[in-house]
Amino acid sequence: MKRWLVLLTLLSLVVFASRFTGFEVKPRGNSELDVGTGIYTLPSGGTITDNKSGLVLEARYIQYKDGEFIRAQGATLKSKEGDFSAASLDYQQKPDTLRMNGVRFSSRQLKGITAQQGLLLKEDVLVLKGEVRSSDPVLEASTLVVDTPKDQALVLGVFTFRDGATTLRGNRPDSTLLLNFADGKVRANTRVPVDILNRLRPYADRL
Amino acid sequence: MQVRRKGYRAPDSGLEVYTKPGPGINWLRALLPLWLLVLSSLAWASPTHPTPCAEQPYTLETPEGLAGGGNLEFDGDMAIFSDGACLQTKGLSLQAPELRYDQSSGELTARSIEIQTPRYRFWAEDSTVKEQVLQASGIRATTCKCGDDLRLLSQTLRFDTQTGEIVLEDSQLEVYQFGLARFSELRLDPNQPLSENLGLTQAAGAGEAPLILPIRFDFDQGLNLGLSEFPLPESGALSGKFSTRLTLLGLRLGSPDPVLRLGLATQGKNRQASLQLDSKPSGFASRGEVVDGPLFFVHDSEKGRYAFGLKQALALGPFTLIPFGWVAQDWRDGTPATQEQGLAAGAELRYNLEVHEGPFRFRLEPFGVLGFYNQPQQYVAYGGQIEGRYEGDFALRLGYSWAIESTPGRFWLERREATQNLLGSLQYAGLRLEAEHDFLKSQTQSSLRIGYAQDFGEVWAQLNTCWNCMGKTLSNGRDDWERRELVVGFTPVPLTCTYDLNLTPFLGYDFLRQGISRWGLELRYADCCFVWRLGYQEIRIAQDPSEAANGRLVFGLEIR
Repeated sequence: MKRWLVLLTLLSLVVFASRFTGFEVKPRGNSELDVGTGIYTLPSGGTITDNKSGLVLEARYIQYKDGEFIRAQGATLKSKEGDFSAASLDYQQKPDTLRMNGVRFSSRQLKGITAQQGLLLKEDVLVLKGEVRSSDPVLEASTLVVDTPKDQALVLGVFTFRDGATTLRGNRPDSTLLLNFADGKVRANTRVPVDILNRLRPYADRL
Repeated sequence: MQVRRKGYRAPDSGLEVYTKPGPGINWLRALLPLWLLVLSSLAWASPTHPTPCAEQPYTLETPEGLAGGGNLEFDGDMAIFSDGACLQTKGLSLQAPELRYDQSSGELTARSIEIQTPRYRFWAEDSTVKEQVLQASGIRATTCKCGDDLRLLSQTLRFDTQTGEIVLEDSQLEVYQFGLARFSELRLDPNQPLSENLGLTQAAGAGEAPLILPIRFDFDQGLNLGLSEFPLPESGALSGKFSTRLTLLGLRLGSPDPVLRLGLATQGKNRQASLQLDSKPSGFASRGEVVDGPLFFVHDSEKGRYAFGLKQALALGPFTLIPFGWVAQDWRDGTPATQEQGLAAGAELRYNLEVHEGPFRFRLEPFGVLGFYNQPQQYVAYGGQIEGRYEGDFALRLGYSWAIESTPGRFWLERREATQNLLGSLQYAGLRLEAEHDFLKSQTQSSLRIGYAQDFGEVWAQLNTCWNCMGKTLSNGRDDWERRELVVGFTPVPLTCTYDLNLTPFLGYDFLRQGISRWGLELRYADCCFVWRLGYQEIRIAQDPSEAANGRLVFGLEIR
């Protein structure tokens, strides 16, 4: 029965019209299928690879259901937005969202980010909330919305941003800071253009 | 009592609040809510203070201080604050519509700035802050809490925030837009009142707000009217201070003994000169002093005193040696009958020992004077002071001073009159007791003061007593053996609000002669720039040899 299940899992190439458009599962140990619900459980974790989008999820514990969700604990995820690690991770295919707790994230623009919660959206927008910290540039904030394709990040609420010998602080709960990443430099502006604010701020409310 | 209107509290104002109730005056505490209700009902809307820089929506910590503003654009090199910007650093608070900080050069620039220090407000058209030094041009400065009826206009300003020194170049002092003086260079200590920076008053220290109005207008034995130490600005004055003063006074006008007084005084480094001429119906009198380093000339024609000589203090560790020599004339008892003329030379040696250990202080200062005259006579005097203090939960002071003369000195300059005084004081909360006993005169004086302080002021009572004070004052045709006077009064807290007024009343009663000994009432009113004083004081029964029964109308003006 177990062998059959493993074989079944290895062969399961699911086609999704979303982030995980089709993935390959490599369990680290056993893989169990609850026939009643159709949920696969990998109690020792394993690796899920989406060859098309380049996503690689590796976790100590994984549960997933074809076409619906992937849940993982002690997970790392390599994506085009950057590399994540999370204490727990929940991918829902509809809507195409990836929620994380205890997140660590590094990308080309932002390095060494940690946050209590994270949400990666279909539009390649990452929302981070709760004690958001990054090491390069040095940033402390409560909410951060990262728009990877546009090389922008919007900081909302009280924040501290360090650049060289200077430290910039937003002292009020309604503070805003737009970071533009270009040519290896970070431009910071507290006066965020209305169109950018209207586009990015609603993402923060989704987490 | 204090009536507060349209309150505007000075940034540095601090009120001391005492909460320990005094015996028997709990009714004041009971009435306090009523007082507060009355005061708050009279309070007008107060202008808002600018937001502290640290509380601005956005702040930037820079080596030049904390910058802040409503918005910030920062590309890693240039930070531009807009929508109201500020800079807060040691001793400096700067406001501007926009502020630029260049991180690579460490330079802050701003236009149309306003600078706030504890006592002054400055406006400048252009400014730069670099290495903690502010350079600005197109300056207007005032001490006024609102408006600028008293102001300094200046071409440039340099403010070293580390030393706290401000230098204004090519400036003009204006009162109600009337130019009073010009200064090529004026140095301001932002923590000192303007009157002190301009040299209009001597260094304060008595706690009394400096009086700047050089006009005297009061009435005692007659009308006193004129200019008293009126500051005369010097053309091209480098120090930026008024160092010459003119006195032109009519004293006791309307009385049988009027005086016309003309005086001139000037002061420089290590030199000073003053001369005063009095014209009376009985003739002329003059007094004056010229000091230039160790040389001096001093005279007082009424006392028959003239001296020209030199005196120089030489410090030798805890010892101070003061050699002296002069040619002098003196009337020893104040009449020409006892006139002395001649030469004197000698030295005075003083030793100063001060020990400070925790709340305890001890001071010992013995001295000795040896003088020789152009006569076969010598002068020897010695004595000293010894004092112990405790300054902790309570303050206690005990001191003894004495002086012994071998023979009476010929001139007042070297004379150290024989004394033996024991004095002590005790201060605890609102209670102060002072006592002094003169062994040579067998005279004991004391005063007991009890104060009950509230946030609106202090109600106080003082009992002055003197035993064996025979011959000191005369009343009812006889010498007084004793004095017992009780003075009660109210001292309001200093005016810190604009368009605020208060009243300072006091009333004294002489228990021995059973009558009102003194009374007075002063009204103080604060506008944006000045505190105006109008008061009347009357002594009805003199309590001290220096006092005479008279009334006095006082008018004064202080820079806020």
